[in-house]
Amino acid sequence: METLFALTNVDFAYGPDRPTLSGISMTLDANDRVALTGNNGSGKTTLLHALVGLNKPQQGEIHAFGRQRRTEKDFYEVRLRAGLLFEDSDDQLFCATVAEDVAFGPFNLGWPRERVAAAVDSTLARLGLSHSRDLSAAELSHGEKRMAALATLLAMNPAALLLDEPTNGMDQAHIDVLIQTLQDTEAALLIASHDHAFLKRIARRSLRLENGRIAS
Amino acid sequence: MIGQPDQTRFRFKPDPRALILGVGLWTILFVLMQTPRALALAGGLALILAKAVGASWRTLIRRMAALNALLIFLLPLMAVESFALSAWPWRLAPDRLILFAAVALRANAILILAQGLVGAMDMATLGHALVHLRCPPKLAHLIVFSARYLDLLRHEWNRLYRAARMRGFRMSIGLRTWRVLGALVGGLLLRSLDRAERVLYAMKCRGYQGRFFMLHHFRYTAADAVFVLTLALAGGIVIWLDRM
Repeated sequence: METLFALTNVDFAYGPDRPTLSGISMTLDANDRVALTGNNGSGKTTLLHALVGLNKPQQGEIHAFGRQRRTEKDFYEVRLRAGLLFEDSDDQLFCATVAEDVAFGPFNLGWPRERVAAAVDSTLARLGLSHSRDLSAAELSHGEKRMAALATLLAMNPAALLLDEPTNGMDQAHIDVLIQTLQDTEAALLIASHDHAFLKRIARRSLRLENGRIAS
Repeated sequence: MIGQPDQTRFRFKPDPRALILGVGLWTILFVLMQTPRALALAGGLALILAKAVGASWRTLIRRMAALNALLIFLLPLMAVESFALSAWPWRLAPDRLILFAAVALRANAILILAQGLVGAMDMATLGHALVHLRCPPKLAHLIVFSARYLDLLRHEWNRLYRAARMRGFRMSIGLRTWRVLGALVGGLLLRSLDRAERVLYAMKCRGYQGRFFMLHHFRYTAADAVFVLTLALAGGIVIWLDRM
């Protein structure tokens, strides 16, 4: 099976006195569905950010999509193929309307306008968001914001989805749609969450972080 | 009102670009006009136009009240023969009064025009229209981003201020109030900086390379061309009246 991400002995610190990840080695294969658990501050978000190059590790190697990735330029391609769902959706919905937000990634992939428009329509329909396409993110409920942020990633057809607390603030109806969507997707999944009931229904294996180390 | 989203977004008639062009044109004309009668006529036309595209009386009156309150303070400065305490009681100078009337009319007319036309579209539409009018993209995106994040900033401010009040903070006159307010504003600033960084991350994560694409395209119809032409023509007539 194709390995999408492979980390070897990755260390990352936000400062000399704040080591956050130490000696992380892990892989994420195509079709993998991995739960990433651990207490607050154990390094889950930092690890997800490192996978797409928002944090550059001080030690260790990150291989992604068949190549070692080190510089900002290396990670550009990684980001187009792996979608990261941010913990706070307001960070991710920065355009004037939901539709514009969903179109942002596909446009950057260089797709022609018709294909972008079609991707926007089908993604919004799939997530039950068609009614809010011309709304601003400010007008959405918390759960709708999460789904809209997910839509911005799915529209790009990512090979991997890295989800940071996807069910945070979601009501059950939205969680059900989310579970259905994730079960249907072919993308590899790495999901950082405290919601064990949710993880149980999606993940096939799990990684537990403790103080920046992989515990199991 | 600017910043307040409404359901008519992108279904605005006439084309937002035509509106912005029209407002820009008329603002220049208003500045050129000298006589009160031409300005009054232009103000009346602006009012009709503003109502035609759906500006609400309430907002218009509220904005005009604020402007005219300011103008009343300017009245003694501008329209009396000698603005000095020794010259009390002040006497109005007729020629200066006419000048003041012109200034007041011009200010009101421009306000009606801007509030009625551009103010009736939300910032997102305004930003889009500006991009399509070849306004520098950075400026236009600043407007779109402001529209999106001003609201969030307000929420964050309310949250901080409420948290302070929950613990017994009350505005008063004194050093402590200023210190607390300083801390709140500082907190807001830091949060905004963090937010800005995370938004940039989110943009990078979806492949941002310095270019913003627009999904939505306005459609410029013949009616819009007629609209702009009519505005230009009406402006010409008023200017001609002014020069007569």
